[in-house]
Amino acid sequence: MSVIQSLVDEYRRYKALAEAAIAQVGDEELGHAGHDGGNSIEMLIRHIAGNLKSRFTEFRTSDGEKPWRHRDDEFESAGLSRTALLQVWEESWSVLFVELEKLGDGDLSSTVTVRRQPLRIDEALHRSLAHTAYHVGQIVFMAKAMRGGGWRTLSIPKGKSEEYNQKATGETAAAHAKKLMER
Amino acid sequence: MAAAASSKYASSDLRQLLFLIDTAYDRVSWHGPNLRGSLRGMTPALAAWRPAVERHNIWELIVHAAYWKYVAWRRLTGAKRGSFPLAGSNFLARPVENTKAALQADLDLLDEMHRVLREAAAAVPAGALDLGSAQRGVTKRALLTGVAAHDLYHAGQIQLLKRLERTCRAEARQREGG
Repeated sequence: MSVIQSLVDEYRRYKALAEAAIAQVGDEELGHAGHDGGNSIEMLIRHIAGNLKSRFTEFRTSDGEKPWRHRDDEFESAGLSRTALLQVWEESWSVLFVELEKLGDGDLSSTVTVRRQPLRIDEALHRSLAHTAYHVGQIVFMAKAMRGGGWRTLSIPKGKSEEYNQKATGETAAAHAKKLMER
Repeated sequence: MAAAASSKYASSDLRQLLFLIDTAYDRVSWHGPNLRGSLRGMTPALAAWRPAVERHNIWELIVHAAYWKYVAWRRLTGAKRGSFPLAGSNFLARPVENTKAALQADLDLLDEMHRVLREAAAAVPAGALDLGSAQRGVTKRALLTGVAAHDLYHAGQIQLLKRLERTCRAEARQREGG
């Protein structure tokens, strides 16, 4: 497996985790602010999307923080419908995956810039994956709080770890993502 | 010559993976708090606080992260199962004792599991990152990338739990005062 492929698989895992969580909350709940004025799921979706789209549009030829991105606005409610929100989400992931498809492992030591700071491509990709995983964890946390007892778990069900260990089926990131998408 | 170039590439490749797991855990990171950073100044009361009866507390996330670092270490090294210092797997109920010493013991466990995993990762021979681990279909590279992302996934949640606990505590104080 190539470096790029392992990153693609991990990105797909976190995309699928977020989507499986988002699917469990009601349309109105997407816009509910977190406690103490914290971010809503809608804001987190738009923030991840804004980050990915900005970083990976013309990934190798322009700075990763685009002049057209308004990061602060991502943390204000835009009142988007679920459909519109998911469209923004999908568009940004599509920009990422198209760009990753163009990369080979031989490109990893080349340099891109983010906010005028030069970064090796592998470092830029690792930073982006880290950022995405961090906020997807928050989306899942909030969705789980909203669903309470009706939550459908996204990983190993409670009390089933030993059983799972005997017959693990979702071990690779790609297999885990596939299982989540098939639900 | 070709072998030397390949070895150099693999070594830089491994350094980048180590950088990824370091910054996800305890080295200064661009993406905000990493896992260990999210636990700075943790108290037993905060670590044991649950947002609802069936929800995990921060303490359980600490042990959960330690457990999966152990699993990754085991898969990386091919070590036999059963050497995790605590009984149980995945999510272990915490706290057993709600004391500073008990919390510190679990934080130390997390640090130790990270240390041995990192040590094993650093010892992966050049060119072996894309070989399978002791887990069907998962390469050593995928394993390490996954561990780093897992740390941050839960770091983001710990940050939310801390904020939620602070809000709930302030609301409770207000109710008592009013």
